[in-house]
Amino acid sequence: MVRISTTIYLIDHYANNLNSPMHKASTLSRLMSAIVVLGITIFTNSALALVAEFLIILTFIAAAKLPISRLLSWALYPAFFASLFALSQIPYSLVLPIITIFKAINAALVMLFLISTTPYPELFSILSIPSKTLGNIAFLTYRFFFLFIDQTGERFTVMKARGGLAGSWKTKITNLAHFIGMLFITSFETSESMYAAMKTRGYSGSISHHKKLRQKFGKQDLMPVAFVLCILAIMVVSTFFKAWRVFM
Amino acid sequence: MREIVKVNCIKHRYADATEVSVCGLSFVIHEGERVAILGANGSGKTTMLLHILGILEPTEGEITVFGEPPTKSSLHGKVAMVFQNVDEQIIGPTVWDDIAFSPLNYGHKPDEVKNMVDEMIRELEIQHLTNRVPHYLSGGEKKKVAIAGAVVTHPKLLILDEALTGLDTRSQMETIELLNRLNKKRGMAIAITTHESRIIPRVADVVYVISEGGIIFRGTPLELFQKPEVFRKAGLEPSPLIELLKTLKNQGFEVEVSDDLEEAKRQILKLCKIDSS
Amino acid sequence: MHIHIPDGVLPLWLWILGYAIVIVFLFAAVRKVRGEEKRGVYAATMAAIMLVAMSIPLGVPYHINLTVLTGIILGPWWALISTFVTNLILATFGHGGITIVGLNTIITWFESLVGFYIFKTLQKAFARKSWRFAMASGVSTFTALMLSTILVISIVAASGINPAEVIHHHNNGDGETQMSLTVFAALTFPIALVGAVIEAAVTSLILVYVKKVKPTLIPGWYA
Repeated sequence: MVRISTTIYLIDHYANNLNSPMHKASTLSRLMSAIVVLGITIFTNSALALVAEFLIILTFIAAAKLPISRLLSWALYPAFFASLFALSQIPYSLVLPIITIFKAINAALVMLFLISTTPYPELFSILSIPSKTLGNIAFLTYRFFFLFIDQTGERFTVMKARGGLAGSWKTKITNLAHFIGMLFITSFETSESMYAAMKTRGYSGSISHHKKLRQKFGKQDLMPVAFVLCILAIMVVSTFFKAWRVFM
Repeated sequence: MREIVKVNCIKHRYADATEVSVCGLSFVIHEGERVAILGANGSGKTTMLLHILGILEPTEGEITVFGEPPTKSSLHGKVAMVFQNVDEQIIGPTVWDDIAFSPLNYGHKPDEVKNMVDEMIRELEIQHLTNRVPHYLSGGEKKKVAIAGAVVTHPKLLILDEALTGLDTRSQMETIELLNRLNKKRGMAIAITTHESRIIPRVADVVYVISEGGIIFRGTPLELFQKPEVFRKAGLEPSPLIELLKTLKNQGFEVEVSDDLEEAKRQILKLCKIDSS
Repeated sequence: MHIHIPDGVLPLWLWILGYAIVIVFLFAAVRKVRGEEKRGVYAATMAAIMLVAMSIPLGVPYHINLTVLTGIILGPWWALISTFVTNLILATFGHGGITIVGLNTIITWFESLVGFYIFKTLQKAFARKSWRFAMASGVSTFTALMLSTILVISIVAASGINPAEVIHHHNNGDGETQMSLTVFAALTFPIALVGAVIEAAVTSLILVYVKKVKPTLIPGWYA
């Protein structure tokens, strides 16, 4: 059981169990800084600025005690798809592909930086602002994911050990489908049990998180602010540099 | 003592046409009483508890909880349950949020909720778990959190479905101590299902034994231990200690059959005329 | 199917439009499903199952989505909420850009919707026999996925970007490096076809299994 499940598991671990100045910042400041930097990344068209931004992001990732190589490996997934687009740009310019690839990597790294320092429930409480239902479903999805992934991992191992993936393609697909069918049924039974337990505790459609977004800004928010300022500084410098080149 | 739960021969038919019945003797829980429900797997223990909670409705039979047929709204705050698989019960993003889940749902104000939850955390001595994420806790820690979440609203009855199964001995003892403390301090009735006879003397004033769709025994733990045949009929094995003391008693020795090891040691040493102190 | 295009590639107006459309429908969905607590739990269950199922290795470079199954089990409105949450979570770690969540939700919801309505129609006609039930499941899934492929191609066409970024393709020739939409469609369809066949087979096998083991999970509107 690889990739997506492992990724979510690790991200959750980094967000909940690590301790750094970024982790201590308020949810709102982390989120706002990610949105601002993401916006800057998407609208920047300077290769030099994007490369410099990449290095700044890596620096802040390291400062947040996150594993750079792991986050970079996750960012390679969108980078791969960006590179397909970038390949077609090569005949026109050598700079365009760099811009395309670094936009994709930087945007992915910013999101990963946010989500590895902010537990999912804190982010889902944003969804609760426009709609309690959405926030609720997002949170339940997160909770169920961890319940199901443990059950599924064990059963998948058992299926492999019993030769479930050893036969012909037809056998493999049939066994996988039955496995997924069983995952489907046991997952629903688990969530029904959970619903029964929730009802006995008075559940009426809403789950609250006491670490809400209404946190006061303070000293703890220096890190996200510094992050934004560094990125902005790069963009300002690159703009002046461009203007200077044009002038000269 | 006031009766708070009474169950008379209930039958339930599940969606897949399986029928479960719990008949025989009546099942009664009094205020402040500690009740153990002993029975083999599939005997109907959990089904009966789900009826008491109002989650299932009987197709036949009579059940009253606090004088009324149980529906979820009438039981709000009065009855709480700790399920066998606590993973399915813990819902909050953090331990604090999970304990706050019920009070918030029942309409308590935020300040009240904070006081209730903080008091609960202090009482259960789980301050170190307050901001932890539930899926990273150990089995024993999750059990404590589940109990905290269940009793935070000071229910009159706490039901535990095989809640001690799967815990190591130390965690089991800690949980039992906690339950007894809550029972003494709050007068909260406790009903616990189990198939382990050795914990019964520690957690129960009254024991019910369920077998093949019927309640076949109602009495004190001591009365139960005098009847190993009841265990066998229920598909359970009496503990070796019970068997030993029963054999000694049948041989004419002056012993009382009990599953309490310390008491058994004292009696056997007395028989051997050895001063156990 | 969903688009794996990262952030910064699609034009601003397109992804904002994607978000705008999804937000409007989400608000409608939230109003429609008010009070359906238990089905909300099912929606979260399906979203979690979709995330878990995507992790199951099939031995080919394809992951199952279960979007049509989501539509069949949950119905249109909860399927929208469920697929939106799934896409959002996927985007947080680079499985599709965060700016593309709106468009991806439109595509995955489209699959759920089409699958739901085709299955509902076919089920009425072919309710009794097990093999017909399997056929209904397979046909609805296959059709929904092929139609969503057309949707993806339309989105790529509307964006004005070079379609080469969506698929595995190396263009070594001189001259023309902008792949025409026709060529792009000709390359995409076979891949989509294989994926649709796998997903159709898996979905119908799951539904037949569920019908046998726990038929109460399949909603009553098919009876």
